[in-house]
Amino acid sequence: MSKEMIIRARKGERKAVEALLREWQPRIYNFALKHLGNPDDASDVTQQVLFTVSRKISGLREVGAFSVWVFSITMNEIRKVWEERRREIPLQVPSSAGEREGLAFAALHLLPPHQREIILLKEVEGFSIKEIARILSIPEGTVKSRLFYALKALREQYLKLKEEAYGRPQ
Amino acid sequence: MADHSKYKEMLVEFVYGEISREREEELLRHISTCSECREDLRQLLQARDLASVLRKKYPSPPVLVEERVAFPWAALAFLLFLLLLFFNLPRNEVNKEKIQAYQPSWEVLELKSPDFSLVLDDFKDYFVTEDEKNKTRR
Repeated sequence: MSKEMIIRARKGERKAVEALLREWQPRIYNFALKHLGNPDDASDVTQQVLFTVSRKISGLREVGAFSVWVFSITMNEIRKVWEERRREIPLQVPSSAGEREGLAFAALHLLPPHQREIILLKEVEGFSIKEIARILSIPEGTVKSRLFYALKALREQYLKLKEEAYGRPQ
Repeated sequence: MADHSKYKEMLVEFVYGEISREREEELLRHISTCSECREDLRQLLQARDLASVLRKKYPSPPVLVEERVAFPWAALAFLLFLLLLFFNLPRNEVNKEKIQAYQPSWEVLELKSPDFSLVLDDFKDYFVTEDEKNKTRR
């Protein structure tokens, strides 16, 4: 994604906006899918985020903060879905998932949303601690502390699930 | 007793390579004498290895933003124009003004989403507000 494209999109150039949305669609969809664990909800969130980005990009102040801005919108939409469903979103593990991947996915979905989102933002999207603090509007210290406990909880849930599936290792 | 919450944060910085040299040296000095933090580090690295499988990308559905449908403002304005003609109102004074008022200043990307409610307050930090614009003008 080029900075130039974002600048052109900000100016309202139709082709640039469309190109930007097409480029970002898979990234947003994948993030929402992994967070919500449900393809239909992930599609809804993606549509909503793209719509908001297309409508509001002209007001984006920092071009360099585009991805942080997009993920702030994404997190907001995901939380709305989460609130609406009152945590009753069934997890759908991708059918193509391998054994380890399936268990890791299930372990991720046993974590509370605030731990899940921070793992995805860091491990999958590769945002820095500072960027995550901006996306979630929390202090950097809180990001680090949440990451610490989220990673430990992920490992713990994974080991529990593995033990349930295959028994305690000898 | 060591302040372990401080070292927990430093461990996170360390495993993600976002630690300064000074803090890294301090952390490594601490780890060499603290078995609890060594165990935390081992678990964090294991968790990171596990989390790496979550990076796999899944195919997204067909392009969602394909269709560009503008709201039929022009048709609405034309209908208004016809209605005004029908009621024989003074064209130059009323029609132009009303039609201009209905002209959109931007195009809408129609995404077929059922609910377009936007919570803009959540992103206010990223936008220039009217107040800020006015301040800049002054």
